[in-house]
Amino acid sequence: MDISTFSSILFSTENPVLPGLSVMRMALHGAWAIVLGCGVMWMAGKLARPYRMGLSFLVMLWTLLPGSASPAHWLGLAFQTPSLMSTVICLTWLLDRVRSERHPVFFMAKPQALVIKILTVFGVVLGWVLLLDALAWLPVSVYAWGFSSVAFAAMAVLATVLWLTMRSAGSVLPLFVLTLFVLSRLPTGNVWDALLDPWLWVALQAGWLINVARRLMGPGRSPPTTRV
Amino acid sequence: MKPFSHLFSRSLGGRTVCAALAFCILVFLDVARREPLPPLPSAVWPTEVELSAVSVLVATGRGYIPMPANTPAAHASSLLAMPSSYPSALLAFWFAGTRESAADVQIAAAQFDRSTQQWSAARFVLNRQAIGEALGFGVRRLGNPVAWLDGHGRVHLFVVATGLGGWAAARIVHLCQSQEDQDFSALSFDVVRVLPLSWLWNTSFLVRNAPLPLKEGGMVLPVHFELGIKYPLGLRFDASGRFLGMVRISSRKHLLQPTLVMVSESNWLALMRDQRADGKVAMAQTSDGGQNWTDLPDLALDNPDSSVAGLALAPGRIFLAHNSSPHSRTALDLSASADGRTWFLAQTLAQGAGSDEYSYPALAWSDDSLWLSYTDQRRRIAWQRFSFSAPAH
Repeated sequence: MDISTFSSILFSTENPVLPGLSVMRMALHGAWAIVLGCGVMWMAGKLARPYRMGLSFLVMLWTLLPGSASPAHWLGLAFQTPSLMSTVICLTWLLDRVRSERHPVFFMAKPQALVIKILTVFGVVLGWVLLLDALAWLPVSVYAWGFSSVAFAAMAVLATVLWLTMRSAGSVLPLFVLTLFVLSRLPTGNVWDALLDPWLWVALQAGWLINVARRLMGPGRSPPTTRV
Repeated sequence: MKPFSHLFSRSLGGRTVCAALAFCILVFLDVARREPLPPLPSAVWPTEVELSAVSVLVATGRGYIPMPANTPAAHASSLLAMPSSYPSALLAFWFAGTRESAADVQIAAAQFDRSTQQWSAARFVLNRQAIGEALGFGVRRLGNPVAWLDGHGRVHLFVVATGLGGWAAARIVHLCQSQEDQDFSALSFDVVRVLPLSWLWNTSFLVRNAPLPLKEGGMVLPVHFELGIKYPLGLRFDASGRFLGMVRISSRKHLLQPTLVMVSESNWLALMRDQRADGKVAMAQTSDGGQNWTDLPDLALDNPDSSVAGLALAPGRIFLAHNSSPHSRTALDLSASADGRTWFLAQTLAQGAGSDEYSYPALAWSDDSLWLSYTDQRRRIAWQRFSFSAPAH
């Protein structure tokens, strides 16, 4: 491949690589299983650890069932497949919980706070841009760029810089998600869908608003560690 | 020792080298998986038959396409012209069931047999359960099938499949003929995918009108978004039906169901339904094969928020089927134009009264004839056939 071919492919939005149907179907069930398992684990926070684990595991198994017996069948109908970022965040959160709640690697460790702030701001801004684009309020089609190599490369630059400058485990997440995306093209072949989904966007904004509200309501107290 | 700790504890120089290497590998992997760029889009005329500018339309047939048993409702037909080597001149697809949006609505099909010059009995070729099973998630309703014959002779279907909500929560499902060389009685489809068109749960995209074929065997499929606002897009596919990309056709927020007609290979028009009261048929133009579009002033043709179908047969021979009364779908006309801007009535296709409805036309060219289908009273699909002849002196 010569340099001109490389650069023309890099900047084109007309040669997307999309995932196959069977991969998408497996990802739908797998991703929802992880997200729901994480959700159940979080909601069952007051139960003893074995019960939480067991409940979460059962929900994950239930979601992996084929057909309309699975919650993924109905969640997919409304919300398609969660983003790779949501899935990886939930998976790492689950792994933290399963491995050791006292020595978390990712999201409950204090050095993550700055990384999470950066990712939150980026996610919130990207979500607004994509929402406005979906409603055709922007003069250019930002979503269509997400099929191009140049959008992927731009995200890879940001992810690499984040990893390079932040000395924490969370900083490797975007790079890990992009690696998964380039190998699997999930969930849709569009890099924006891999990095952010509307529910994650809502969650980021809700988390940010809650943090702001806590700061305003309790100026004497230091804000709690941000959790995702 | 913490897992992953080696990822964060190297010196800055070492980390920089690792980061640069990781970036290069990722970008290389992404670019390496991509196909070569497609050629610039260039539309192709549907016929090589010489159509003199003075030849006139002559009605040569009309009737109703047979319905599947026990289906009192039918809507949104689409015609697919078949090559001369096929036993059928046309395939017709539409959705049918007990009523529009009912859970039992399926995609029906019939063929116009060249030897008998008759429509075959209709059969269902697709239902929502089969699509849901293939996708792995539920589909609540089906509608608006649009057919296309790819560069390898396989029939592709694009159908609207709704998620949580009505038509405004729809997605476009792409399907392809299961096996090559299937005859009509065995025609079946495999799901390719839901077309990825938006970040917002990929919702509220619908298809209605036929694609514009391209020289290299691909096509541009006109679709629209309709959640609150309405805007049209063109989706490009290559000769094997691979999705290549999307371009917005209009910056206006009240236009839907575009139909694409070519004026020349790279100069195309999009004619669109106007959602507004007292709307006119809206128009946009591209002069670079659909890469960029410009809105043009509305046509003089009334549009009662109703679907239109256009087809350009040859240079200067553009046809548009449309409802011509300003506030109802009681009249369906076929208009003709040389440039796409000035239109005259070529044929009155259907004329009713009161609450009669003749709507959702589709056009195709096959066997040296212009074919037309449309919804008749939302109960059945009517068809008409026209040929061209020199005017009597």
